[in-house]
Amino acid sequence: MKIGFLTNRLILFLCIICILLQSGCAFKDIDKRLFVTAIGIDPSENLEDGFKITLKVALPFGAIKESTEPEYAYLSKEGESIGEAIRMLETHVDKVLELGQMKTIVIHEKLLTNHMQSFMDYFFRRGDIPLIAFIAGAKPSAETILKVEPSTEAPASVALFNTFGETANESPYIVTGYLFKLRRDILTEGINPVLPLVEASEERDQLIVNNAIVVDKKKEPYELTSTETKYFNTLSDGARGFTYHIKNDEHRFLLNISQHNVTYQFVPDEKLSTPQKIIMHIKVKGIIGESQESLSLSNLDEYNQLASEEMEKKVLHFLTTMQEENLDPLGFGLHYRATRLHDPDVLTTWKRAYPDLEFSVTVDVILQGTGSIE
Amino acid sequence: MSRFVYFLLIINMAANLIASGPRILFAKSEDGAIITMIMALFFGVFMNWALINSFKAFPGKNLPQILSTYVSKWVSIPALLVLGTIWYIAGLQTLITYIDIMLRYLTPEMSIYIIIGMFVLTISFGVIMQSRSILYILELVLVMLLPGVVYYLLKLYFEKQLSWDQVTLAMSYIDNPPDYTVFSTIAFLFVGSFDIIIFNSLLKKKMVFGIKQALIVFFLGAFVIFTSYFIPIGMLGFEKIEAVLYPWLITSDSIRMKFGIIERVIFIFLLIFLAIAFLNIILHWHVSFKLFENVFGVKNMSAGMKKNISIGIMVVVFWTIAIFATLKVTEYDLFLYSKYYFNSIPISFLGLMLLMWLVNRRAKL
Repeated sequence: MKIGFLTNRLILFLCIICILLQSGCAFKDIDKRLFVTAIGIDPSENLEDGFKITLKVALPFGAIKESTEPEYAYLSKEGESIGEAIRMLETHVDKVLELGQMKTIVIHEKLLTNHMQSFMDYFFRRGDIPLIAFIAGAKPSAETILKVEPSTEAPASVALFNTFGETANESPYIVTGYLFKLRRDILTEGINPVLPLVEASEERDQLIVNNAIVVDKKKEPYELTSTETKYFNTLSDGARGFTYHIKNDEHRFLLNISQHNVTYQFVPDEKLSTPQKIIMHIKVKGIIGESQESLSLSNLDEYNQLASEEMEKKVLHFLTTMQEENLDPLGFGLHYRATRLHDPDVLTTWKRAYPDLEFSVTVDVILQGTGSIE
Repeated sequence: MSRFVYFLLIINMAANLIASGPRILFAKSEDGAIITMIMALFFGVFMNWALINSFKAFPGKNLPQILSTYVSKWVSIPALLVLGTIWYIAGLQTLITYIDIMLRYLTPEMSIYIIIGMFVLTISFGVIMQSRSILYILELVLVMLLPGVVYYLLKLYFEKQLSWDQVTLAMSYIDNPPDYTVFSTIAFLFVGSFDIIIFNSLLKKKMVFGIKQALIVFFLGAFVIFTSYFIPIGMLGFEKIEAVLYPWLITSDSIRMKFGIIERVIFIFLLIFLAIAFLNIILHWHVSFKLFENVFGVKNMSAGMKKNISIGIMVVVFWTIAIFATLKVTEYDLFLYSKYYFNSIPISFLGLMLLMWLVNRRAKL
C-alpha cells in the first residue's frame, strides 16, 4: 500500500511540530536547582510523634580548582511527617530542591524501631529518590552528623557517599545499608535489618563508622561492637580483606583474609519437626599480616590450627550473643522458611526453636604464607 | 519458523515485563502462582504450535486474505472486528502504562497532553507504515538493544544484594492450587507470535514447528517467566511485593552500577524498555489497523484522496480513544481491566483456532 505523498509530508510536519512543542521537556536548568546530598531525620523536640528533618544541600561554585573545600547549606524544619517538612523547606529557598542525587538518609538511633515503616514510606513513594540510597543510624543525632564536614572531604565530593559506596572505602567494619534492602528486611519475618551507625568525633571533624545496629520491630535497636560488626560482615558474605587478631600464650599474629566461604545447615531433632542445631562451616584463605615473633613456613599447619580455634570461638560468641538478644541479623529464620514447603507453622516452629538452638562452628583456615618475611 | 516470529515473540514478552503482567502474578503469589506458571508455560508452547500449524498451509497469506477466500463475509467481518479490538487493546494497555511511567519517573514536570501527543503521533506514523518496514525496524531495534539487554540481565543475576532465600521462599508456595488469572496472564506472554495473522503475508517460506522450535519457545518462555517473577522477589522481598505498583521499575532502581557513569541502572532500563514498548505498541496497532482496514473495506479502495481520508479517519479514531482512555483510566482501573483483558485471551485463542481449523478443513476439500 502506498501512502499519498501529501499524507506523508503532513505526518512528517506534525512530528516536527511535536518536537517543537517539547520546550526542553519542561526542564529546569541546573542553576535553578539545589542538590540535596543527604537527609537527616531526628525525633522532633516540640511535636509529639513528629520529625525534625535536616537537609544537606551542596552549594554550587564556579570551578572545582578555585574552591578549597566543599560548601554546604543546612536546612532544618520540624513537621508531623517527612513529606510535609520537605514541602515546607521548599518555601525556605529560592530554587527547586532536587532529591534525585540524594544518596544518604541518616536516621537518629531512637527512631530505628517499629514506626520506621511509616516514614520510610515517603522515600519509597517518591520516584526521584534512588532506592540505592544509603541508610545509616546516627549518634548522637542526625543533625550533628550531617553538619560534620570532615577535613578529608574534597571539593565536589561527599564524605558519606565514599564511606558507604564501596568504591573508595572498603573497610570490614563498615556495613552498607540500602533503602530497598531495609524495606525488604523489615517486612520479612526471619531476618533483622542491620544498619551502620555513624558517630561524630569529639571535635566534630571526623565521621566514625565502625559499629552497626541491628533493628528489631518490637524493641530498641541493638548496637553491635566493632568486633561484632566485623564478624557480621564476614558471615553475611561479600566482605573481604579482613584482619583478624589471633592470640594465645605463645603466638600473637594478625591474619589477612582474602577469600572466605560460609555454608550452614539445620539439623532437626529426632522427630524431624523442629530444628535443633545449626552446623556452620567457614572456609578461610589468607596470609599472616603481622607477628610479634619470627614465624616459620614449616609450622604453617600449627598456625592454621591456632587460627581456626580462635576464629571458631569468636564466631560462636557472635552467634550466641545474637541468639541471647533474640535477633537474627544473618537471616537464619528466612533461610529456614525458604528451605521448607510453605506452611503457617514453619514460622512459629522457628520462633520457638531459635532461642534454644545449638551452634556448631568449624572454621578451616588455610594460610597461604607467612607474609613477605618469616 | 522464520526469525521474525521469534522477534515478535521476544518483543511481546519483554514489553509485558514492565506492564501490568508481573503485578497480577504478585497479587496471586500466595495463591498458586508458581504451579500455574508451569502449566501456562506448556500452554504457551502449545499455543505457538497450534498457530504455526494452522498457518502452515497458507504461506505468504495473511488472515484477512485467507478468510476472504474460504469463509463468507458474515463470519470473517465479525471475526476480524473482534481480533482488531483485541490487538488495539493490547497496544493501548502498554501505551497507558508507559505514559504513566514516563510521567512518574522520567519527566515528572511535563504535561500529560504533550507526552500523549508525542507517543501517539510517532506511533501513528509507525502504524500506517508498510508491514515490511515494521519488521525491519523490529530487527534493527532488537539488534541495537541487545548489548544493553545482555548487560542488564547479567547485572540482575549477578547482583550481590539479590536474596536467593527470598526466591526460594516464594517457590515454597508451589503446592497451592492453580489460578486462572495467572494462567491467562502468562498465556499473554506467548501471543507475540500471533502478530503473524498480518505479517504472514511477508513470510513466504513454509514454516515448521518441530521439537527444536518448541524447545526454543519453551526455554525462552521459561527464562522470561522466571526472570519476571523471581528477580523482583529476590530484590524487593516476598512480603508485600503485591503492594508495589511497578515492581520492575523499583527492582531496577535497586541495582547499583558502582563504576557506571550514572549510578542508577533504572535509566538504562527505562531507555531499553521505552524502545521496546514503542515498538510493541506500533506492532499491535499496526496489526489492529490492518484488520480494521479489511473490515471497513479501506484495503480495496483505489489509491487517491478517498483512501487517504479514510486512513486519516481511522488513525484519528485510534488517537481519540487512546487519549480519552489515558486521561480517564486510573492505576486501579488499569490493573482491573488488564485482568479482564488477560482473562479473555485463552478464550479468544480458542476462537481463533476454531476458525483456522474450519478454514484448514475447507482448504483441504
